[in-house]
Amino acid sequence: MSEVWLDTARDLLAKSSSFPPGPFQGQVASFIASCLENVHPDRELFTGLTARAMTRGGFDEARAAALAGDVFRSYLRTQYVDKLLVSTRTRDALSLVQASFDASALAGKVSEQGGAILCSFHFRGYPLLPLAFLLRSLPVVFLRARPDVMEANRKIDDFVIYGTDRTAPVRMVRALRSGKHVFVMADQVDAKAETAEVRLFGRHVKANVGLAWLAEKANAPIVPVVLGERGGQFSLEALDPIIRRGSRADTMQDVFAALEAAVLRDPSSWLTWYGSLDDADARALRERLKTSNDALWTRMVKS
Amino acid sequence: MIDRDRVAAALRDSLHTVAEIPADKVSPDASIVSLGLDSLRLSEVIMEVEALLSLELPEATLLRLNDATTVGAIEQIVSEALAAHEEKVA
Repeated sequence: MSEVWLDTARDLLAKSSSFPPGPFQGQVASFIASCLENVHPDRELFTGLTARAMTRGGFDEARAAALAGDVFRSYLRTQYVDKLLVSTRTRDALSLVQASFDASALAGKVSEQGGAILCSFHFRGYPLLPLAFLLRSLPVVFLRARPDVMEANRKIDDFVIYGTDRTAPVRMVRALRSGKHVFVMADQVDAKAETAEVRLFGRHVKANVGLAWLAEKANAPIVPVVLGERGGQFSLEALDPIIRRGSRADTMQDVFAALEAAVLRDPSSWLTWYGSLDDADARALRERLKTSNDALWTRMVKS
Repeated sequence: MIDRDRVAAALRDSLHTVAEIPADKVSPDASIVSLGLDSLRLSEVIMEVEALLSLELPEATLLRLNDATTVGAIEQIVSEALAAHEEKVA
């Protein structure tokens, strides 16, 4: 299959003076996403598993099938359009976030907390979330990100984005103890890390306990942040702080209960429904997506 | 002067306290992976070592520790940081 679309997408992006008018609108974004929808090799597996997860989550089959297509389109836009924007057009990304993200309620709520662990989930548009924190002058942002994206964004004006690595937890604890905030994505599982079983949509899934560990070591609250989008305008909602209790698994259960409630309010926005299956098929998809995305993404980023 | 014995003792104690690893399993060649240290446990060990040595490792040292694969490598990196710290305060 011809991949001329990749070069075309790069050209469009290079010639565009801005990325109008938002990450989910405009010719460039639509063009890239629609091309990807046709060429992405994991489309059927992704939508099939997403629909299965939604059915197990309580949706009827017809609605789950329809929503699964929406989730895949959101996934492509987020995975490619947003990340392309953040990695190659950082200033445009900042302008976009400044114009379309309403983070005022979040900033007010977070500032009441002292050092807080801001956690979020893989909702539509999530790569732009750290930029919203930067613009709100939340002092420390830790971002698990690809090295190529990290290189492009390591220094933005006076803000620094730190990547996660093996000793990042030490730096995060220090930041929290000094009253700064840290940011962690909560709904992904790293097989090499300590996990605990939690319930999500009535099923047991594995959750990394990093958030609970941080809360314990720094005695800090966890503030789930939910990203919502309507017509290109984003809102950041800070949910009630979660205070660690009992075991790390107990704390993580509270985080996943917050995730479940947020997903049910806006089911097509959560990109990793398939992860809630926590079975061999879901693990296989996760691996396949990495390979497929790496192949497509690397070509775009290298331009 | 590098006080490597002091660092080695602190590291052994920390591995025992945090990860319940017996001292006789802690040789300089022991790999971090084989000792079962994920990033959280490694970080906990580092914080314990800092407490035992009354030292806050500089950010550059933490970044160097990301590449350490053995107990001996950790000892070396922390020893150098300790020496630099003591020289600074002397």
